[in-house]
Amino acid sequence: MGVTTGTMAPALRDSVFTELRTRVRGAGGHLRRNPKLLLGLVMLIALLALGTLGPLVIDTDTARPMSVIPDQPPSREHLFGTESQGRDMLALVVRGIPLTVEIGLIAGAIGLGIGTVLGFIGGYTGGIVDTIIRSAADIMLTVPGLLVLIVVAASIEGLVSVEMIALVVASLAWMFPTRTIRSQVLSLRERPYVEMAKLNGMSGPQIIFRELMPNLLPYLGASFVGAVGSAILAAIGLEALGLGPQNEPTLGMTIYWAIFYSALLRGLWWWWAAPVGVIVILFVSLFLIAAGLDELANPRLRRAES
Amino acid sequence: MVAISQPQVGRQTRSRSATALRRPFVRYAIRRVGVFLLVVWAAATLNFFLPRLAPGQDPVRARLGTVLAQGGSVSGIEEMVATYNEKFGLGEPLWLQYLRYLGDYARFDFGYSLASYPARVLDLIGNALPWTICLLVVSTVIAFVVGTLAGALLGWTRAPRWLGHLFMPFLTLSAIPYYLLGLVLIYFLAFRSRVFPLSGGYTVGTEPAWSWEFIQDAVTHSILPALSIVLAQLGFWALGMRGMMVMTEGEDYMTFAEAKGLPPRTIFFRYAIRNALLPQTTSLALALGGIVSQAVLVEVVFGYPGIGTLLYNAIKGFDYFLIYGIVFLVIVTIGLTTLILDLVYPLLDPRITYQRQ
Amino acid sequence: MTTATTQTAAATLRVEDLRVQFHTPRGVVRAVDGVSFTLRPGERFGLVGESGSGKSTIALALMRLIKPPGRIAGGRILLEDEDLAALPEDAMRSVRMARIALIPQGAMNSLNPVMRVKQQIIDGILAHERERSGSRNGSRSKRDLEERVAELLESVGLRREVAERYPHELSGGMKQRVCIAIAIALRPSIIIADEPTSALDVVVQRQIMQTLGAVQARLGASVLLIGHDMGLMAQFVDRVGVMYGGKLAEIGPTREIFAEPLHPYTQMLISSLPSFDRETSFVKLAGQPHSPLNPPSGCVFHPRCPRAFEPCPARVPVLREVRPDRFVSCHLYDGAVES
Repeated sequence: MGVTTGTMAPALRDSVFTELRTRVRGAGGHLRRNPKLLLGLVMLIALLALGTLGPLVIDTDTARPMSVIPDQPPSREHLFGTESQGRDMLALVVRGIPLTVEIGLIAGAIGLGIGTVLGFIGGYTGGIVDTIIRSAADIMLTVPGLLVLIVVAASIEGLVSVEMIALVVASLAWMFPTRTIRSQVLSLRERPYVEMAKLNGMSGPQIIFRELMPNLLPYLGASFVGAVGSAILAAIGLEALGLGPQNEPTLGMTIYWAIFYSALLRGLWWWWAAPVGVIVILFVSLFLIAAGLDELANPRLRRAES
Repeated sequence: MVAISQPQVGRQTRSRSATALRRPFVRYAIRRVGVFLLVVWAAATLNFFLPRLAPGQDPVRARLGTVLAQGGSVSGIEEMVATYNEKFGLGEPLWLQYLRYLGDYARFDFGYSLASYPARVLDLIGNALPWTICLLVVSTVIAFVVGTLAGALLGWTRAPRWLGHLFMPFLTLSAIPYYLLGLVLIYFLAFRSRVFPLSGGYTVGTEPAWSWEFIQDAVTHSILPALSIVLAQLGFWALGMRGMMVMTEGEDYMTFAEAKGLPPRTIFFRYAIRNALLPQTTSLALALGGIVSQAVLVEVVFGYPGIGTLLYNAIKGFDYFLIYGIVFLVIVTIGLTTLILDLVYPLLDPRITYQRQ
Repeated sequence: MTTATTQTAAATLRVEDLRVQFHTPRGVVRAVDGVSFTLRPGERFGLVGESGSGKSTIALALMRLIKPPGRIAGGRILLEDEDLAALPEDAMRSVRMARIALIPQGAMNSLNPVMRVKQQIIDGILAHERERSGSRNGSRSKRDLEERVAELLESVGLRREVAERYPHELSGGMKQRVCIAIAIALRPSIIIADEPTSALDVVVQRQIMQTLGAVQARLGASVLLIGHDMGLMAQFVDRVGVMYGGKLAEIGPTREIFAEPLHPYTQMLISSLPSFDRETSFVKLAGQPHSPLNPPSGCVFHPRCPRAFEPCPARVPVLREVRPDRFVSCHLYDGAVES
């Protein structure tokens, strides 16, 4: 199957595998050899630092309406400018990052949690339970998630909180983790060491936690990055349509207000550029981290590139 | 998706006649249509129960009350609300309401728009749908073809190196939400340099017609939204295809094809791409929902007269019947498209046998 | 390395000092390290060795199908006095299948799963005939081509209806027959069979080898059979070359090698075969092959060799003709060179 078969002598193949195994040891080595992962982590950490350390440096009270002079372009006083409701863009962004990341983390964690449980149940037990879980996940995957979320969010009466948006998004964040984890469990289940554990009289949960879980950790990590990313994407989409927490300055809500007040046509570029820039950095960093992790898990891709 | 995500590949059947092949197909097709109907039913049910299960007052009923209070000037809206109350009134048992509701949806009767009464929801959607379909089909086809081809070249060891460097930025673009890319494009290409119109589907003041001028105008207006969809999708297709090509290049039949002395172009198109394309088609079916979701937001950013803008305005005006109608119809459309893709897929891959394991 | 070229004047294929290297991050692996042999007209020649000995790499090198990080680092591959190793890729492409054909190792996966058998035979034929005639559609009509495909399939013992099948509808043996049909379609003068039966069960193995023998006899082509199964070799080939660590240890007529193996490694290989007429049944091969990244000094076999002595770790032995048509690369025979 592999690139190596047929073109390399088997003994050589073995030596290449030992090579890879040593490579996979030592996280420092990874990062140096994997510029994507490194760059992604640096970008993400910088963003998170802006969100967590920012409030210590700047006055986030200016993220309230009518706290500064509206519609000011970036200046020394207002680094990212101000918008029409009289809010400071830098303060908005600094407040928005943790809120948006919070939505992503809550929704991603719930989605991954449900996905892991369902994936393990389906993959490990098999049979009719597995069929139902697999079909449900597959069917739900083809449905346009954002539209379902729109119906859900639109049907919530009154003001929406950050936590509610996270829960709404989480309701559709479990399918992909379920699918990937199920197929991983399915392939791991057939491994000889699982057979050995069964013969040794280990119980189902014991096998799952002692034998399967440790092997799945890399996949769970990658799935989590993916789940957080798509949760943030869905949340920002909902918010941009005006279905987000109206009183909270999340990044998506800032974009909604920018569209709402036609910032684009009025030439107030800094209004949308700040949240768009932050979101772009956020997604690109998540993308680079995911791609980097993928290359670690699947070294073949590396060859195709450099 | 259900059968194809677990295709039964490689079963040896030495003498399989055409009729024996057809019967499992019929069974597969029936099951696949069943799944489609299930999705449609689930979407309709979601629309029915969500507002009724919402904590506090039923938002639809609350909205109807507001409309009634403000909308005295619009003639006929009282009757409409009265008809609604008669059909889905609080006195009626829930199951009866539900059955009536399903009956209405089966006839694509979504009622009237609350914000622009007396327009019917179906008519509003009918006006918007062609715009969305044109924009989405054209841009997705372009992105799929270009992205897949680029990905194939990226994964092809004999392709020139510079190609990879040229394409790397696009891979990164795929990480960005479509509509944010749209914002940036509008700013630079429409607001600053005025190469393209700022927003809308056609010049304000003209009437949609099948004239050459109007089509030209509509195409000019659609270039930027289409471009933002294409740019944001390119990387997705290219990345998927690259991975599949790398896998395919390691296959024994690739070595054997070379040993036959076939020209590289034949090997590339008829052996490598032809095989790597199969999972790519599956992911087209899977990605469709996401593409539509993203396109909805692109329309909002561009003020494009399609489903997305209609939905945006419906949300802003709490036009519940319109929201539910749009979401339901879009889910049905996507379900239908994936159904067709799933039924066509076996033509691409002769190994699919439709049988359950 | 001069001696091998003197094996015989009349040769279809002469391989001289062939070297194939793989460049890995840890260093250079010499998968094939100075191999020389000839393939005589109409002859069945076998290359045996353990996995990792470089035998399959030789097959790919002869077809010029070594992929990066590997490359042909030296030597000549003379096909009727034309050096394939120096040929431009375009010219090499027209040699493949038309003059040297490959029967691949992975019978199960060597056919394109999405093309009918017929198309996979025809595309190979057309690729070469277009080149030769220069015209777009070639000289043949579709009907002629299909008839030719049917004849080819029948000549390898398949029904002509197989042409319309997809690979997954065929058994492993049938797939391998299709591969043979493709290999002989253009009547090549050399057929390289790289472990053609490795994925098949024993009964099918025998049938495939019989088919291969029959088509070879009819074409008058030379066959280079690559494998690890000494028993299979003994039944099929006229001469055999034994490979170890990327080098040829011994070459000679099959019968003579089995009767009296000269190289200690060959002796070990043959004594490891289960046998009825020998009392000492089944001697296990002692030791492990060395790491390909740092081969031992001198003779690469010396760490495992039961008869190693002083020169072995010091000097690399040379393949020499120690008796008529018997070539050995071993210091034990340093004094026994015939003039």
